[in-house]
Amino acid sequence: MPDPKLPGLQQLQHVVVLMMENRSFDHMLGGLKRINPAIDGLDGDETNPDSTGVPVSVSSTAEYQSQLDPDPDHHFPAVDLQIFGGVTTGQNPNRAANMQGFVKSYFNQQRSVKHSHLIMNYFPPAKLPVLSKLATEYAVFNRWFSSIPGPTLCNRAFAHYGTSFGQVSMDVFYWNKQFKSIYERLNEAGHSTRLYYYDEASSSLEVVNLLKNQPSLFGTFQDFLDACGKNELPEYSFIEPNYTDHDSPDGMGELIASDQHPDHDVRAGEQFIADVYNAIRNNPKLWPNTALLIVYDEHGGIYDHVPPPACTPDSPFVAQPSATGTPDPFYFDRLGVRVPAVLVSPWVARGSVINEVFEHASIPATMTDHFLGKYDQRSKRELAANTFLGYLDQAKIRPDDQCPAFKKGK
Amino acid sequence: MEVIHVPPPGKTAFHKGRPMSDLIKAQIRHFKHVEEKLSPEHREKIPQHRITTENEAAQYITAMTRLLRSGVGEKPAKPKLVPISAKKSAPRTPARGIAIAASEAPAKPRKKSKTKSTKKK
Repeated sequence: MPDPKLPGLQQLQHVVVLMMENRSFDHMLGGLKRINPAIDGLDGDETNPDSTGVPVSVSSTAEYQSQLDPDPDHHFPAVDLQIFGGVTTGQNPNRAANMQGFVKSYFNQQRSVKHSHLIMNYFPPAKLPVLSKLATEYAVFNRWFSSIPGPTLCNRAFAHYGTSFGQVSMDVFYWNKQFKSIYERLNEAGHSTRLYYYDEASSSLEVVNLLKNQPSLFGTFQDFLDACGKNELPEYSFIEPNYTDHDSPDGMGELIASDQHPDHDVRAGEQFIADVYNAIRNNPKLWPNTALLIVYDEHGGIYDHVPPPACTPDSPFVAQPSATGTPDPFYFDRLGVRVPAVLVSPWVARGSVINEVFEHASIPATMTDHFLGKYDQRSKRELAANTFLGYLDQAKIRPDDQCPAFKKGK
Repeated sequence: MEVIHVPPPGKTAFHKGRPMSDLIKAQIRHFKHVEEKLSPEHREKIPQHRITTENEAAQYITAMTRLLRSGVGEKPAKPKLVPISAKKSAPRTPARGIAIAASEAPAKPRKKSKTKSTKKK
């Protein structure tokens, strides 16, 4: 629990979470270690064996688009291979996570040794000016992991509910009434909250539970921008990027995907992050009292060098082998692969590097802790999750001219 | 601090004919799951075209999202929502466990988007 007397917390009125898609920490931010050795990125000598046994080194040659096609596998069995290097519990009941199976996993999709090496690529910081700048100017998390070694939807469920209710896949699920979404909790206590999808054509990934049953929770990204401009931002906002290249529903042009999901152009996502940041940063009535978390839902099958740690089991939930696609059940007792996460606020110390372990259950845990206080009806994982607003710990707000500003190129 | 310029996507980056990813396929499955529970008159409003590309998915998702946002799938006993426009938060001490009373003011009507942030010509 952070010190409530912190000036940044006393001023805090709004929290905004932007959840992007499918990129690992090392892929996006690993190059920052050369700028700040405290950031647990890449030394350059990390390797993975390919299918012929040849070690493949990480390479700062990631491209914005075209290298990760086909989309790298990130379903549960593939991530198990990526994390454990292909060693099964049958071979070694005490197997250790070694992060040695990424190239092998990518090879399985196209059977191309050369193409499989691309999974080791990462961006030099200069190619990602927005994410890199925010990570170095505000706070970057060295240990924010996806919640499950699996795909998007079960991981995003942790951000909404603090659990995936036993799911490790993309299947339709109905939430257990025992654990309400963070939006329901806030609403019932009289707090304002919204999920902002990009537009009606991209919509939300929370279809079956939230969009169907509580459509008034939702707004478009334009609604978010309008709310920022009119000082009507909810206390808690969750933003979803544009998931597809599509014609605008109102016939006003073509809209490019901004989610950074492979193989979408990463630059569109950089611009989108800048849009969100600018909407808050450029409003002097919003900037001092708003915290922005930028986080990725999962690693997308792309290499990261940090083994995910064990965690509090999410009992009573267990995914049986028929669900995991592996010989073993999963007790939700290990986190997924590490993802980029950056906390932005003028109350955060410049260049902060956070070493505590976080996962997506930390999002509802933080909102509940800050807005509601004691609240017991939560998953085991959420109750155990660390919260992040204590990093708004500066005695004085950072002067405006020391906060980065972004201008989009056309 | 100098202004940082953010490069735009490549001129050939936009590809609405791109086959759907597993993510979009899952999103479509979820919408189809919801669609199957709608009444016949509501289902008539949903286009039933072939969906293989991102843009085809977007067309279907638009129709379903508009329908759901109109309240068609909503449960009768919906939770009480606090209109954002009614909130006038003062800087507050983060005291815990005190609920703010919900406003009785009517919900703000939804506005139509006028501009897009990542538009390509």
